[in-house]
Amino acid sequence: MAKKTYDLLFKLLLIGDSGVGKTCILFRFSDNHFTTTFISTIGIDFKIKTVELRGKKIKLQIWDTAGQERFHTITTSYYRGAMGIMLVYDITNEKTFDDIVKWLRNIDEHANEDVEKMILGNKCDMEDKRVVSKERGEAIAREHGIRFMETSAKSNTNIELAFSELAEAILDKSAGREADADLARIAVERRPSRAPPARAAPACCS
Amino acid sequence: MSYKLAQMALRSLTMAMMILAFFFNSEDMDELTIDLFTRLGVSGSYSIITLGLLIESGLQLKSDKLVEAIFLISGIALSLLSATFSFINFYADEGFKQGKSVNSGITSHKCIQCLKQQYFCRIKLFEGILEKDVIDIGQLQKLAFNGVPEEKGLRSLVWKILLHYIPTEKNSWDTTLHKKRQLYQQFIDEIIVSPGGPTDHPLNMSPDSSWSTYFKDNEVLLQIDKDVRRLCPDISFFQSATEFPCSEIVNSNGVKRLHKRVEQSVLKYSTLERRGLGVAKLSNEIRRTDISSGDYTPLNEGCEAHWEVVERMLFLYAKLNPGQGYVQGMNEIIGPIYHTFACDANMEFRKYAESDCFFCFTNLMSEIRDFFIRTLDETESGINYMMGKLSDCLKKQDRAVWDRLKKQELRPQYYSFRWLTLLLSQEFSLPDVERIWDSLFADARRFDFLIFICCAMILLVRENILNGDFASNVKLLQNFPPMDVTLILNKALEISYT
Ligand SMILES: Nc1nc2c(ncn2[C@@H]2O[C@H](COP(=O)(O)OP(=O)(O)O)[C@@H](O)[C@H]2O)c(=O)[nH]1
Ligand SMILES: [Mg+2]
Repeated sequence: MAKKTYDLLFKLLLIGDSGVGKTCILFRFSDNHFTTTFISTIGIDFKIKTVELRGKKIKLQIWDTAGQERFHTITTSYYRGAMGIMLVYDITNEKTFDDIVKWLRNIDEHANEDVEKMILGNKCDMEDKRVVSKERGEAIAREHGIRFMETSAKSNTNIELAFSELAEAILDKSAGREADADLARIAVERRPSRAPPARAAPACCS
Repeated sequence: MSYKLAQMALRSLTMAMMILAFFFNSEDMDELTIDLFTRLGVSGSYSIITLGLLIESGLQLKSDKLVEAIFLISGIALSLLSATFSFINFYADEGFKQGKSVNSGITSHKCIQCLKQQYFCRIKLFEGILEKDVIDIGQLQKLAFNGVPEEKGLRSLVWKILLHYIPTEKNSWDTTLHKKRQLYQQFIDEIIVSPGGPTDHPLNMSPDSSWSTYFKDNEVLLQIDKDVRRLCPDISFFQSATEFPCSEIVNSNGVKRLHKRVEQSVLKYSTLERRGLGVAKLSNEIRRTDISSGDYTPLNEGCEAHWEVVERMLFLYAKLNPGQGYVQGMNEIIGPIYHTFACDANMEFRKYAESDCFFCFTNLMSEIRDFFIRTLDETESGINYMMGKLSDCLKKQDRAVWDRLKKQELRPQYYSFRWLTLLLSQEFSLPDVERIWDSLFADARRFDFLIFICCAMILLVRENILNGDFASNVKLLQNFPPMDVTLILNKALEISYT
């Protein structure tokens, strides 16, 4: 049989309005390169990168999606399997920031309840064209209880960090779940109380 | 008795040709030589098979022996010729490798001559069909199916006919073209040039205020603008200037240029979104205007890049088809058509590339529009149905591969959504896309052949799929390896016969 080259497999998803730089971010992360010449993403694209976290080899399977409304049926079908979602906006474009709320609703509707989320304000290399302040980004993230970071695919700022932080969060959670599962096996009667506390906060805000 | 012998000889010759073709293909030679071999090998073996069949049927009918003899001799002559070419070329190449490049140039030259002659024959055939007063569309489809030469603007003209833009009656060409081109000019005037911009108060947010329409238009335009600036970035064509810019627009001090509208509108939009700031603030914010992305920068006054022309066509299309608007990917459909028309050898056609392309695109979209509409995904004309058809075709052709993909839960959406929606335009280089589209447009039962091509693509990488894991298979199918398109098209043809 094929030899296993990793310990864990995490499925991640990149979403956000078209043009915010999702494809560039992914390309920077997987190939450590930036190019302005990307064709528009139609449907869904895919990249793999293996990272090492706490001595574990983690294979990240990352799906890049098309931002436009038309592709939602096809892209939302990936939400379900995703363990982590990167929600990207463009700090030089107000509308992409406003749409974050819409994307969060989408996640609530289609993704697993315990999916790890992170908001990225991309293109932070373009300080002179900034229209969304870092504070506003942080505020919306805090409001929804989500991690936040400003990134630049162009100048390679925080890209690696963002992915490893998201992966780490998933790792924490899955470790917790393993422990949980062990507990459940020992004391079956305790199971009903397991689900609720995890997801109470984000579900109620809109 | 002698027929039997001849047949056997023919069969073994065919075999030999196949083996030769395979053998040579596996050598690493320059592309031209491989191309020659493939062509010669394939055409040689096909003609041999055909002749063999003809002779066999001739035998059964006991028709006169002279005909058979002629077939026989020509068949053998042909195969010998191809084989000789192959051998000469092979040894010439061997010699070349060893530094004795004596006659390699000469033989290649001869081969090219031979191919050229074949090519000119095809051009003549097309011209023969196009000369008639009423063009036989069936004949044209048949011929175009095997590829349309670019020379003399043939492809550009043939596509116009196959897409039902130019009628088959030749005497009505002039009037049709004239009418359509005038109509297009009218669209430009009414939708882009004349409107002086919104008239009522900008804070009038009622849904039918002119500002509201203006903003909605600009939202569409913003998306188009992003996409046309990343159209075919691997070639310089779309960034270069057109010979025939739209004079009302390019000499308007930038005012009428569409992308200028979105540069400003981003600001106005955001200012208004943040309510309460009023228009007074606008002037302060104007400083962050220029969106310069790479080489897709706007050209000087009086000039216009091809991407700006594409932007205009897409905007007009969105305005004229409000139910559909602009969907990402439409740029990839209009791109190859416009490129073909704008490179027409015939200056008169080149001059009107924009308006002609607009209508051809509109006609093509009327056939594939439903791929772009989310609410129609499940209907018989929608994309899910098409993906289902491809999956069925694959299941029928190669159960093992289908099973493998199924088992890996590698769903057709992961790769074929884009293949089908964009008619493969993102999977191959532009010249290959244009060659594939010759066949697609010539397919009388559009778009059955598209399904066969997609299926052929999968079959051609079947070994990799059977040995690859989920990740490598998704990667493989989403980034289809460079491959000779004729190989894919031949395979697709094979599938269409089963
Ligand atoms: N300055 C700057 N430009 C970026 C950055 N990331 C992406 N872009 C540009 O934004 C445009 C859209 O990027 P793309 O990745 O295709 O966006 P997507 O539609 O979200 O996948 C491209 O022209 C990129 O060159 C960034 O970090 N800084
Ligand atoms: Mg993209």
